[in-house]
Amino acid sequence: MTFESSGAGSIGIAGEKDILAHKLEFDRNGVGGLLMLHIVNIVFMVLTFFVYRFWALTRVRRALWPRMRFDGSPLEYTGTGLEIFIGFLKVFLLILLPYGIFSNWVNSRIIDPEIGFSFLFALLSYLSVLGIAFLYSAARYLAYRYRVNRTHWRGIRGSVDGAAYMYALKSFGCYFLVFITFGIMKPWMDVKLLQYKLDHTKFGGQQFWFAGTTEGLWRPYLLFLLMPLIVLFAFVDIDGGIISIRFSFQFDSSDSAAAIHWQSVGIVVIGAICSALAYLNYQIQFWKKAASRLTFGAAHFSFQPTIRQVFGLYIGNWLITYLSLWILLPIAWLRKGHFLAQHLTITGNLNLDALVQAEFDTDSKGEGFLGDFDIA
Amino acid sequence: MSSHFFDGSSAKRYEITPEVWQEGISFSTERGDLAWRYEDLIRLWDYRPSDHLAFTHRKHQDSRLIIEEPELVKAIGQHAPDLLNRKKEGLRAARVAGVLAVGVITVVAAIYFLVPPITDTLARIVPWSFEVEERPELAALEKFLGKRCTAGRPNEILKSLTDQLLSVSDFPHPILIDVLDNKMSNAFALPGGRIVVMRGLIRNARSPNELSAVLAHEIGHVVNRDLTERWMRNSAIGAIATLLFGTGPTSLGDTLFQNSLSLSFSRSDEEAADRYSVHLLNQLDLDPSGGAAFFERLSRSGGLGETLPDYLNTHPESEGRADYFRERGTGTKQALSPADWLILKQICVKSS
Repeated sequence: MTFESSGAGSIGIAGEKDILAHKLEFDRNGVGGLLMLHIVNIVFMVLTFFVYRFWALTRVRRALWPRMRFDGSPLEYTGTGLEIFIGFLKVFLLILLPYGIFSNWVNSRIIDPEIGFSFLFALLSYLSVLGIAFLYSAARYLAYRYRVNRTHWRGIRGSVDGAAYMYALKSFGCYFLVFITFGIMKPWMDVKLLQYKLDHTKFGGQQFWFAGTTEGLWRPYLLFLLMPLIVLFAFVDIDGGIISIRFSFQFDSSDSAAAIHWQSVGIVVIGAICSALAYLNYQIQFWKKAASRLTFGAAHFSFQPTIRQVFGLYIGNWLITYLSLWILLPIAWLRKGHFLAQHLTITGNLNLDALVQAEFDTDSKGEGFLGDFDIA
Repeated sequence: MSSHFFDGSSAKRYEITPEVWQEGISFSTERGDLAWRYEDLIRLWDYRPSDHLAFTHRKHQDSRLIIEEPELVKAIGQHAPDLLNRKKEGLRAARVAGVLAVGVITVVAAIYFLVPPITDTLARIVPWSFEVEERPELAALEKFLGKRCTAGRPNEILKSLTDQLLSVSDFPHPILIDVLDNKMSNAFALPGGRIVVMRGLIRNARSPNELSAVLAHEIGHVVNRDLTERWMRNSAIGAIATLLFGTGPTSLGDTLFQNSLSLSFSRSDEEAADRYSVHLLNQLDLDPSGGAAFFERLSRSGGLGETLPDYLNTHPESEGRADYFRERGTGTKQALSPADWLILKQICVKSS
């Protein structure tokens, strides 16, 4: 036997049997190791004034990604802490620092000691806030790009092209439209932005195909928007200028002012809970619809959790995280991963023979300016 | 359970029967034979399940070789124990954290020791006209702190006392001094040479030299360009905090870092202003016991400043400051005649 050290050799493509229903599993074993990793990360972050966070994030991703197995093969995360750290340093020196100096300078001059309020500087300050929103959108896209580019499955890499500034411009246009329509156009914005991301996402050489529409999203979204009014009409009577509240908490108080105060607080709390549930319902509908309209080659996606299941996941994770003072956070991660594996189904021929490595290089240096910036 | 291989060019899974040798691992696929040396293998430690071995090749890092059979895993362990022992990998994380900790401590130490001399030098280089442009108008301060006390003769006496102190300093620019009608026993310096004294300070002062010591202290801040320096320092600390803690919501670490550094720098500014104050009083041969008495009273009056430990305070401990005035002061005279002092005390009394 001769051992070569010059490479892996070249192996051609051969046929593989079609698989119609694909298996997605999430491995929840080994919680102890993950908890230990989390605690060590916290200790290291404290010791390094949080600079270690880039490495901590990487170690967590490296530990979590392979727990998700698709057709028996785990996902892999190949990003490094150093890459994200250097990306952050670049962003800090080239954008955040100059931006911080500029906005400080502008803000300190809005109220001029001699001429009073300065419209020019107030306008510049407003523009600098918009600048942050623009940078944030661009950074979110870059973070998404980095995560996908560093995700492997069976040695095949994910990739995202498209320009972060285009995504940020699109986001800006969408925010503006949502703003002038009093929030009504948000489902349209959500679909458009996801469309841009998925239109530029590939796995290997295979493009994802997303036929996003807002169909089926308006009703749950309007329900969320109108929820405060619904709660108000349900509990408050307005009769000829007299406002009365239809329900009463049984407080041990004969003071009518206190009773009205607590009833108002009760309505606000009920309103907030109902709005949160309505928004959760919209989000679930959004992701269900989005998954059903996504294809990858001949493979189709379906995501079918019920609102009760999602609610259970959120409340459970919230309690686990906060009651344990973030110590048991890894359990919340595992619950999320398991939930996704349980409710996301992928069917249809993936044609693995045709799923080949993309030709372009996705090394960190190939991603250009800010390529490895990750804010997640 | 079977070992398999992905060639990195497609997602096709190749079932293989690897053979473990002294030098490496060999295996055959339908397209040919491959032999990988141990020194070329990179173990993918996070692969799951963790009792399976996943490798990639140093020169072809998209390929994946997965060994699942326990006897093969054991054999590889015998020939290349490093490929099974994760301790080294674990130590790498500790080493990264160690290097970062040392790096961060070096940066913080550098800030602590280098920022004050650098900003002090820079602040003195900034032309005085720049600072004058930043000087707040008295009208803006009056809105928050109370009306300016306008009594004519007392203001003349205060101005002449300030000029007397300025005459022995080498500061070439004018200083504006005003009293605001506020019961607080306080005084402060603002950018551009504006000193504001509260009515309460003059009212509570028991001798003209107490007031002189405080005025000389505030003149010290102006002469040392402390206001410009503070702005520079806080900007530098803010930038470094962003570098360390990122741009997310303010964290406890971020707050502690920024505040403890700026408090520490602020204490050293106050000490320098005290030194300057004693210097001016000595030049004019003024009795320093006024300054000592002022800080002693401040110490006795308690308040938050006196109950907090030193490192949480913007000012040094009052008793220590009183001692400093007493020990370093050499003068014997009073700054004002008793008659002038009584007139000055009436600065906020409106003439009918």
